[in-house]
Amino acid sequence: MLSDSIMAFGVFFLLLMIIIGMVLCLGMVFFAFGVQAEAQSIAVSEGRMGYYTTDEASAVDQYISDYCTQHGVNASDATVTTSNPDSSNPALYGANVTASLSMPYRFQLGSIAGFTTTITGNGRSISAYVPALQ
Amino acid sequence: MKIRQLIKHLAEDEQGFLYIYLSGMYAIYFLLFFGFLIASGLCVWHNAVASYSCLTEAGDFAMHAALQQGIASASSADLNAVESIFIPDFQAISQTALNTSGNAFEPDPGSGSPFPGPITIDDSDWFTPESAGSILPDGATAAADGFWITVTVPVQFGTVAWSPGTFSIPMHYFAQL
Repeated sequence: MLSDSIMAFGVFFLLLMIIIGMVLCLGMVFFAFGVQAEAQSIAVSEGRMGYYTTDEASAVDQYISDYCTQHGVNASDATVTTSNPDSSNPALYGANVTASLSMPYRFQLGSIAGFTTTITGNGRSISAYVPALQ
Repeated sequence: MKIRQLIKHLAEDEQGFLYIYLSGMYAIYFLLFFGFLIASGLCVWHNAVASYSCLTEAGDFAMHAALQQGIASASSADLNAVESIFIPDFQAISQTALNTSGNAFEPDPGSGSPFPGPITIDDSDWFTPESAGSILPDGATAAADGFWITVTVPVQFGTVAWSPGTFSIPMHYFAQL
């Protein structure tokens, strides 16, 4: 009878662990969907302007910092890698532009911190930048 | 042994046939298996969303370019013109090239194409004009003139070694002029 009770607790504990793990993984998946959407919006902005810019007109910085605030990530931990990072080499009309956004995701339960993984989203768009019109 | 006798036997003699240990173990295997299935599905979903944005971006850009070239309505006469605008845009964004038989966009080797295999065109009317107010193949009503684009996109399961390969997912998009 004692073994039964211990086993019942053990099984309950294992089930609890699995459920917690699933919830954390699901949180990571939805975080990854968000990062993907953010990366896509960066790529769209990059396609509009011809290159990746963080000035006020593009509002990309604001998107990223808002997303970081909502998900408890330091905005300085988010790294953006783009195909056309500066105005000296803009993507011309019809060219492919890519943007990649990496953010850390912490497996965390309340204040019990676990480990951190990096989630990357890849956005793609086409440049609509015509130099003569800028 | 008859069913009735079996039930009687299980209920009276085998009192541990719903043993907590076994049912717990089964529950754990069940949860692990379904966790694996759900994780696989979400992986494919996530990669498919990233692939789908290629189609939507290329479609929107092509419609914008068509408007600039003076194509203001979706008619059969303009079909080839708009298709010839869309194909280079889609090739540029997906880093693929339409093959000579015209039924697949093959990834350029060494260009860093995000697609693991060729994007195939399974239907001859993969690019069809739809006028405003018509019922689209997905049941929605077209708010404006546009083109209904259907391609079959290979989606990678993941980058792990035991990946079962790629899934072919048909994707469609209504690009409005």
